[in-house]
Amino acid sequence: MIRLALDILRADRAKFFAMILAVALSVFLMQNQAAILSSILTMTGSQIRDVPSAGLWVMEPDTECFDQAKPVRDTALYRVRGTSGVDWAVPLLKVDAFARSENGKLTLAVILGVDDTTLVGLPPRMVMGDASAIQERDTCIIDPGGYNLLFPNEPHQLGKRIRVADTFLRLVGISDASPPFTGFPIIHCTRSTAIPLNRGEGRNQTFILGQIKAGADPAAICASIQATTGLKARTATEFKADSYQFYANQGVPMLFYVVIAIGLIVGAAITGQTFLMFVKENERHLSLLKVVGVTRGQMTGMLFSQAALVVAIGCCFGTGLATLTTVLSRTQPFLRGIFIPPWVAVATCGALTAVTAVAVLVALRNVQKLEPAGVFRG
Amino acid sequence: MITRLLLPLFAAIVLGCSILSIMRTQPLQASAEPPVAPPSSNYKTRVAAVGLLECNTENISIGSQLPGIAAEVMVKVGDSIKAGAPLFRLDTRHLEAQLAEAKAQLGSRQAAVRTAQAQVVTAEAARNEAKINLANVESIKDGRSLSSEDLTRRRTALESTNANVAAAEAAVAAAEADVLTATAGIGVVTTDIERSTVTAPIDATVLQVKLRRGEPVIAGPVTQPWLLLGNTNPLHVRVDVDEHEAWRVQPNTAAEASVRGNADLRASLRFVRFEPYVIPKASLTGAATERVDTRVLQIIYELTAPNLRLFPGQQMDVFIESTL
Repeated sequence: MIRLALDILRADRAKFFAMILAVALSVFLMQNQAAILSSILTMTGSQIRDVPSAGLWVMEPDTECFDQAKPVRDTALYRVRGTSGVDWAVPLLKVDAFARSENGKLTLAVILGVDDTTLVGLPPRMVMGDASAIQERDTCIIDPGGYNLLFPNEPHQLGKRIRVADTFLRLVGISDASPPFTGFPIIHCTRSTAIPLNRGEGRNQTFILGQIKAGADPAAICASIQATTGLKARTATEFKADSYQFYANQGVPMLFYVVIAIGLIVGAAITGQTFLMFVKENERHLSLLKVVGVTRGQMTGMLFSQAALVVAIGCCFGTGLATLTTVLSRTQPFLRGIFIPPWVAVATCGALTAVTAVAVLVALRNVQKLEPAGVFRG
Repeated sequence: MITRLLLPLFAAIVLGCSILSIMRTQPLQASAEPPVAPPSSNYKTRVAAVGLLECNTENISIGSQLPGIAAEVMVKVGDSIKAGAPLFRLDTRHLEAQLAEAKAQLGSRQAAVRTAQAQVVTAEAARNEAKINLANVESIKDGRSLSSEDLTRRRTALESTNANVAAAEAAVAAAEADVLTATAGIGVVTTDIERSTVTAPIDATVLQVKLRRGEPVIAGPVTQPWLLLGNTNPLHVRVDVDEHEAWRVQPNTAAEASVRGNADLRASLRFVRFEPYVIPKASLTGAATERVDTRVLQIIYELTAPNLRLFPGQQMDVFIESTL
């Protein structure tokens, strides 16, 4: 019976493809919007995620997110190091300064001065060059987005010079730093190179990065750092959540939620409507089946199997379309952080399946009402 | 055929590719070890601080008592020297000229002494003659053969020669005093010549030489010392502890210091003393704009690290065990 149902479905190719297209487009729309929202908000934690070795972030109590951070005292590093349960701690200096290229391009940039010896704070992957080359004084590495801003339409090339304050930084690498939420270039150099660039700010540490000893309770260690030093201590996960929340509270996500909801509604409407139309137009065949004694259970199975095939193929193509868009977006330096979280893919397909299931149930009710004699009508 | 087989197959391929792509584009989540191990400590409760290596005599900035031009620098950086060894010498030509002048003066003063002494002899001879003259007339008992005028003249002559002898003796004393002055003058110039050579106050190693032959030296304290000396065996670590943590530091607990750049190289520390006055933290980064808003307690530790090559002035990461 199920094979018969699928044959009926495939027989009308135009309608079959139209239904698949409806499902695919809805899935694509929802997935794409949810992925963009999710990716953009994930970018708020890019620079935290880029330091996979640091599980502990210590900052001034006023610091709410990575991008707006107040520097800490010099001795904070040693007070964190002196806290029981902390395995190690190193300083990170963040300087917001204007960067100029030799051809006159000017942009505000985020300069991260990493600890000179341990280099904790460097992104784990490089596009070009070797990250440890920044140990040489007045050298830096920049992310591809930043390179594109400062040297538009130029192929990646090392040795170029970037001027920050009165210092010329020589480019020794292009990092694969995760794109920041703010869209500014991310420049990594050593802390000793970054300190002279830190104009007007007397303190030369913005964050203390550290790791909690294996087996220790992170929450307890964070609480003890807060109690003894008066600084805010967060695990990397918590700090990512803080940064995420800081921007999530600013209203931009609301717009995306609206678009996702519209995607769901439009998808539901189109898919449900098309399926209902399909059932409606096949009423004659269905009546005939009733005549030959197809039971109610068999009828339910037939409709569900038809819907399942459409939804399955539609979801595949929708996800494929969304993935293709993502892959194409990622070739752009500033959109390289766009990705589809697996839960978004699953949830959007699930939502579409649920909507279709509702449509099938509605259609079933109509089919149940069919008289076998309907086959003679029209 | 197309809808029955190819379409689901194509959909499955698209799905497979999508899943692969989604998996590959996920942001990094894995944690990793730092590229170079940061310093850490096994002390359960501890105070962490930054330490600066220095000599056990502290670092001695050698100054000069006299201004001048360096004529010779006798030591090189890294030399081990004994107390009293010459370090550098200023140009002393003008002092040597003064010495020659003073010596000549001494000679002339000594000659003056001899002249004065001869005058004493002359005066004494005259006095003897006067004495004899007087004695000759006084021995005559018959007063008629002698006029009282003659007697008075002879007595007066004796008094006058007495006075001449006294004057001549005083002249000798004055000339001798002049000789002493001239000798003292030679001493002054000789001392200045000696002081033009600066010597080592203690047994030490030469840490820095910022003076080359021909360069001017000024007397008194200078920002950049001409020479830096100190005894480097054993080295001391001057540890800066945040004033908020100072109460937790106990003397004579275990302490260790790790070398910047390779935290695995460690040296154990022995407590020497507290510097009892808490001072504002020094700017170690060298940035002129650095804001110093912390006071630190300084603690001196002795470093025992026979296998490490360490130098005064180097920074170390220090951990001090504490029971508080």
